[in-house]
Amino acid sequence: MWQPALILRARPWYIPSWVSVMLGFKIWKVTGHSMAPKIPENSYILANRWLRHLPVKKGQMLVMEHKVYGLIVKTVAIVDRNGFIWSKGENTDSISVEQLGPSSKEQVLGRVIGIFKPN
Amino acid sequence: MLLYEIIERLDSNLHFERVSAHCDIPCKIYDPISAQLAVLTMIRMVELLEDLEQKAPLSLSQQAQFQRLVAEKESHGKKVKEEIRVIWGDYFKSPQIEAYPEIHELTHSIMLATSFAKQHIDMDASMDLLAKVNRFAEIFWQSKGVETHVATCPYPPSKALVYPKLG
Repeated sequence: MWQPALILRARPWYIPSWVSVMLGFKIWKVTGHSMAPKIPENSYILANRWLRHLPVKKGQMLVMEHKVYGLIVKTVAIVDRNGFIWSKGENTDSISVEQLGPSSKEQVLGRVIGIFKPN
Repeated sequence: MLLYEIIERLDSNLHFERVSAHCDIPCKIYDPISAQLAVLTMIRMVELLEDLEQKAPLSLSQQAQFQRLVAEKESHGKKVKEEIRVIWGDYFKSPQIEAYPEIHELTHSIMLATSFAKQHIDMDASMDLLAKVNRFAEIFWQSKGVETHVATCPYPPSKALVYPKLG
């Protein structure tokens, strides 16, 4: 039988994690270095999913579900007149804006609000 | 830094989801050897197909082998195109293109030669493709300041390949 009290006693960090999930916060680990130097590889980022409902603006860093590349973190390059988000990396090694193509707002999983770098 | 260590420790328990800061050039690793090996595979498939031709009419298992050989030739042809396109598109930038202006035409000719080698069971066509891919490899290594030499690959189909002189 499922006993939440027992689980919480064994793994107390579940409580803050559940609360943070409810508030829309989520921590992600970053692989790849296309967002360096702002987000070096192996950094942790704190993103909030509720903020995705606010207007998306150039320069914001977003976690997105890309149709080809999967879960990615990128910087907003421009939001076009149809509301599509064109994103980019932070250095020349990133795939280009054109290769990434436009993303809809529905593909945004959260806006980055905190970066925790390895060094 | 301290915060990072705390999160890292949490990560070992909670296993945070990974998000990719995706790059096309994560480590700048390019090597035409993959394309060269794919061409060698195509050549080997042609050899084996020619062997099979001598055995006609084919038994059921030989027909199955025929299918596999053709499929492998096809898939390695696609690999040649993919590998060459990536090096041409991602590695070659203005300085290399200025130094080796033939690279565009060569790349395009590799695309056409690969299609032709895929469409036919033709040793001459496959060898023509190998010559082009070898030239591509030669240019690639020269552009990196690495000397090359030609040696026969020590396995079937034992054809001449351009190798970098390393170390």
